[in-house]
Amino acid sequence: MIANPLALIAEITHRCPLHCVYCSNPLRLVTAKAELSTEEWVRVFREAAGLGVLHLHLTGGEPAARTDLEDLIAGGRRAGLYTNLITSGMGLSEPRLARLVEAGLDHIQLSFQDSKDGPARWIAGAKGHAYKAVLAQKIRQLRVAFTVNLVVHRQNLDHIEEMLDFIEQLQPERVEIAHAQYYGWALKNRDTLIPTPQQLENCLRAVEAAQLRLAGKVRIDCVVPDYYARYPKACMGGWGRRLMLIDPSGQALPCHAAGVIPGMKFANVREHSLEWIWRESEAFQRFRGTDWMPEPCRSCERSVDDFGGCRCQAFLLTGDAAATDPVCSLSPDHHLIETARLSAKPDSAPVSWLYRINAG
Amino acid sequence: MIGLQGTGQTIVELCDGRRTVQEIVATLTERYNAADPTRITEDVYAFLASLQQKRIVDFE
Repeated sequence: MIANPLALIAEITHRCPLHCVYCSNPLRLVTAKAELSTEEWVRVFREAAGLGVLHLHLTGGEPAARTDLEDLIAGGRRAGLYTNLITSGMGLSEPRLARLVEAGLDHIQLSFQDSKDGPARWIAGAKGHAYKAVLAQKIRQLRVAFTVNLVVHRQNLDHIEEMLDFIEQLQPERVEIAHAQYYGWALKNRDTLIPTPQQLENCLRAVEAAQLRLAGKVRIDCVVPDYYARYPKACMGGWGRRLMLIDPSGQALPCHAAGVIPGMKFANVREHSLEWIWRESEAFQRFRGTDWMPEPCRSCERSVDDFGGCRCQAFLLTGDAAATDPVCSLSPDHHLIETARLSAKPDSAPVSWLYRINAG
Repeated sequence: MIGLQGTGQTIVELCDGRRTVQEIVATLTERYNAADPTRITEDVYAFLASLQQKRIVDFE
């Protein structure tokens, strides 16, 4: 018996005005011409609701780059889904924001790159920080749940306290302090992003202090990044177990990065029903459950908690998508992570990095 | 994502943005035929407080 998915991640476009160095989008981006139409997306939302999905996450790229975002939100709402917009805020004017909430938006997640304009611009490869800060005030005046997301890494963690103070002023209900994860562009920039052990320790201490201070006002989520954890994360809550991602062209993926795994065939919502894709398609069955697992996962009591970690990370680091995620301290490839951690030293000279390109 | 069941689910369903906590307690007292609403009051406040910590509901 295959449980139904709980959330649909709809990457409605790969277009984005930002060029963040840790963008998790695939290195090969979907062009605007190949994107699903409004009607196609709305049909997918209805199918998802029928399949048991509760949450719809509209993301990108920058979802506001779609001029039909209002219609997509209304479509999600009509399907009965709790609708969340994951946005950089770029492309959202005050009237448009009000229209999105009017259309039925339940929750908005606004991302920041830093607390200060200069560093934020350097990380995003684009202007926009001041605009986001003003937009956050407008969001707070609307009847919509509000999460602030801040991606942290070696180049901004030295002022984590300042960033937490900045976010507190924005008055969100929830904060996500998200350590950069090394997929897509972030893997290319890993050596400049990976935090030092000292930074990580400071970060956890600062977050804990903020959690105590803001208890009942702001919920702050922050997990130890997997490169520093003993065991891997339960990526996507387990392959083909809770989440389904649809890319801008309608390809259904079990995980954001699954496209990197060689030989994977992804079904498209233009050709198949969501239910068939979830239950029958090759990609969703490939690493579902525990039968595919090698040792040490197979006999590990944690195999049903973390599902062997992330398949994409296993492939990217070891060349074998069916290997134990090397971040696990029990993995025979764990030395790869230990070596990467050793490269995490305070920077003595200015660093350079690779920016995400435009989707075209 | 948080899963609810039983009384917890009932309480959240009663949180409609209009009912006061007192009204929710009164509804539950009636529904469960409880003689003493004190226990229900305590449980409802404790439950709502735990949800507020997670910033899932607001109440005064």
